Amino acid sequence: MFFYIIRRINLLVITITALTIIGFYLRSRVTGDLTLDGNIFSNYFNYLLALTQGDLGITSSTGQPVLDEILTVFPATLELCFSAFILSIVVGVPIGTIAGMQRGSSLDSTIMGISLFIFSVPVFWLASLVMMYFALNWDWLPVTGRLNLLYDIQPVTGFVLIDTLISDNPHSREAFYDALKHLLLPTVVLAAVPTTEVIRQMRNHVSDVMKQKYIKAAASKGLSKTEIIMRHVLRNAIPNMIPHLGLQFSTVLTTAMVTEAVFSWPGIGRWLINSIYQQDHAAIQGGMLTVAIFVVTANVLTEILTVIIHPIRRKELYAQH
Amino acid sequence: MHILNLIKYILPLSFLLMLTACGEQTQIKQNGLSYCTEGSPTSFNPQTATSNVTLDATTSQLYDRLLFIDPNTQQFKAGLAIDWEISADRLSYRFFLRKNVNFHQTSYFTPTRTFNADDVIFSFSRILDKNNPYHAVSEHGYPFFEGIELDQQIQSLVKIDDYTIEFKLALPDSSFIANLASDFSVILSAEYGDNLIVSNSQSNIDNLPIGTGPFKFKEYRTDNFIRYQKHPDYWGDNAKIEQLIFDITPNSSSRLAKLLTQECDVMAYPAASQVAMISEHDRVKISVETGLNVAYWAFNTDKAPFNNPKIRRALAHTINQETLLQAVYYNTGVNAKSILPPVSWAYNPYLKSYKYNLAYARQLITEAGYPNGFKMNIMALKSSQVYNPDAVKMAELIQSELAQIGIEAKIIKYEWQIMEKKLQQGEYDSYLLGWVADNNDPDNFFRFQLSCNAINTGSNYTRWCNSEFDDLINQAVTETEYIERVTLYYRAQEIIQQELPLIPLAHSLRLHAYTSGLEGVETTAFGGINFINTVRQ
Repeated sequence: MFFYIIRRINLLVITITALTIIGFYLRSRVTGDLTLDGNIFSNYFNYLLALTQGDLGITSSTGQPVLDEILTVFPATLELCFSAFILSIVVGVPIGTIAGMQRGSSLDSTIMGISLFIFSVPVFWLASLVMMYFALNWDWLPVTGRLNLLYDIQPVTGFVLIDTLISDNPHSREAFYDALKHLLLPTVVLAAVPTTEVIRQMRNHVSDVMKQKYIKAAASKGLSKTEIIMRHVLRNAIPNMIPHLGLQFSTVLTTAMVTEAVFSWPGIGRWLINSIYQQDHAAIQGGMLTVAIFVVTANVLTEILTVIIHPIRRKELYAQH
Repeated sequence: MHILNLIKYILPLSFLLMLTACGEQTQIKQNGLSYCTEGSPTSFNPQTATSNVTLDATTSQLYDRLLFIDPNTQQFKAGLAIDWEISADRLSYRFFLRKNVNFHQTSYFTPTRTFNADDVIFSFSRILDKNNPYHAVSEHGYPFFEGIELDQQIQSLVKIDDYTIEFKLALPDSSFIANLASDFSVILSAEYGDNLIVSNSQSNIDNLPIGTGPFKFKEYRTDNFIRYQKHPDYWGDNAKIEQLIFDITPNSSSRLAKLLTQECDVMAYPAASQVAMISEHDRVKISVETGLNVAYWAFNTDKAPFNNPKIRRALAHTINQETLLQAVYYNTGVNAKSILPPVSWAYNPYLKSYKYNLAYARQLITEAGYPNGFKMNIMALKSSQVYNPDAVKMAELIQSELAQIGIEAKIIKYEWQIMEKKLQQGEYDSYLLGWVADNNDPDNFFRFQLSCNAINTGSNYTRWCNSEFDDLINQAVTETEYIERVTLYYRAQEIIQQELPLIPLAHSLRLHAYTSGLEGVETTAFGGINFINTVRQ
């Protein structure tokens, strides 16, 4: 186990080193930012030293430290990703279970047909479509942004749902509902593809479990169908899902960038796109490093977590040694 | 059972939350206003500004000027100066200042005194006096004032007493008072300046603004929004709204979407193509004003073949203004013969326009020694501007005309920040740009963009220098007789027409769309929007 973790962390270090080299290249294009007097290695070392102190440079467009700006935009992206993630699990797990229980039935083919359709719909098109109907034609939900700007809510955590709740603004409750309304459409759009993925995986795992002898045994013991699902099927199917969910998170984060652009969500995706327009190398470098390190770390952590809670995987590992 | 139970409760609960939230018509929306603007300001001090976005976001909201131009009558009106006297030799201008004018009180500054002559001296000496501690604080200088050569114009600025000041000019200049009324000539707080020196944070003067205007600064999140609050101790009538938001939304479809869903109350520059659609909605109104602006195609006259006026004239014959007006402006513009718009008093109506004639253009180019045509590039701004709703589309139309006479044009698209750099470095053949007047004086159209001196100060990107033209515009500002000034400007326009450092393409109408029920949104022909009298019915 210990060796396994060391190996994973090694991978993490190598990936991050590769990323810092790209970051270093971008950063060195910003003139007068780092002290670039020595040879390339000492320059690179200086760069790493600056990174460890949280110095990602100064944006050329606003003159603010890159880190400060990232800390204001990244939580918005994470908030969107988390809510989409939760939505895809809440919707995907039950539907996937139903499909898996009745594999081959007409209900199963309908579910799989619909999810295949949703899976193949481009995100930006889906976003424009829901925006057009729900916001513009039917006027149910706000069209863009994260919170009506008239609500003066100061960011504390950066997560607007939390900030509105803890704010001492007299209108904080209204602001909370407003934030919820703003969050709904982007969340649904962002959750669409991961939900189909969860449904597909869940269906496979559930139908695998259903073929097991202990399910038959449970049924013959006279357990009701819900009891079988709750006690045996879900309990054995869900742990198999975890590595898939971990991989999904990086997909969600990438899709979030597109979603942000469409919904003017003030997250890191929109911020990075603006930085590219303005040829702001320091900002591109900082944003790239942050997102990439976040994704790599999240993946490594899921893998480690999977091994910890999933005995079968652990066995496979030992077998390799 | 847990998961199913959870779903059973969460779903209805969240719908309930939605419904209660929808039902509230909230007070905060009643007392606030949000304006969807098209870009971020580059600074919060108009003195240093180059873009209209910056002026829109700052001048009328945060600051006052000594005097300003009434948008309806085009006459000068008292601002921070209640009255002024001009001496007989027209060399000294004496201003009598308003008393009991309060500066903004904010989290970063508490004024201890009201406005007086020191503030005026401070505001102008910052621009004029190279030894002023704040002169070098502005990174990009003071382009407007450098363009009009204010430091040459003003010999001295003297404090007579606490509420009287006197400007002494080097030469009589008819445009001087119009320049003081321009959106750039705002009054800052000298006391705030002193405080910032003590705390050694001088650059705050342009980023955390203090003025005397109807709104005060609360918060700015780059590329996102600006939050202003009402200045409760304003010297005039207080603003009717408590909070003013500038919601920065560069994409015009997003701005329209926000307007239709009432997240924005006022929308800047609806795209010309959207106007027909907007007028179908009864909850949205549209206002149209003639604008003092021009869109043009300009050349780098330092560079061959564009240093040859014949080539420039040939290119003018490739322009089909009618097509441009229809395809780019959707008929929200009028065609241009001169750089001055027809509403200007110095507009020369006798100018002949260059007829659209590709065969003749080709002939001229052959005569100039390029029988096989040449390659060129056209720089165009990506985002829509007051004077040009879609420069890229315009460039494409020009490109297709040029292709027919053997000129291969490459379009390079930029955001303003990048394009400005390229223009200053001189790496271009031609560019599509425009001008929005800062005041109603015609000098404003000429000096800044086409005078020889403006090549050095970095605002004459055509790099065209014509001594006769320079003499004419210099004479025109010292001249007092109206009829003489008009004659001089007529001649100046003829020279531009002949030499064509730039080809005027169109004058755009100014459009704003806003929620019905909103009244008192004031706009001026020189750009600028003012919310002080805005009220929601």
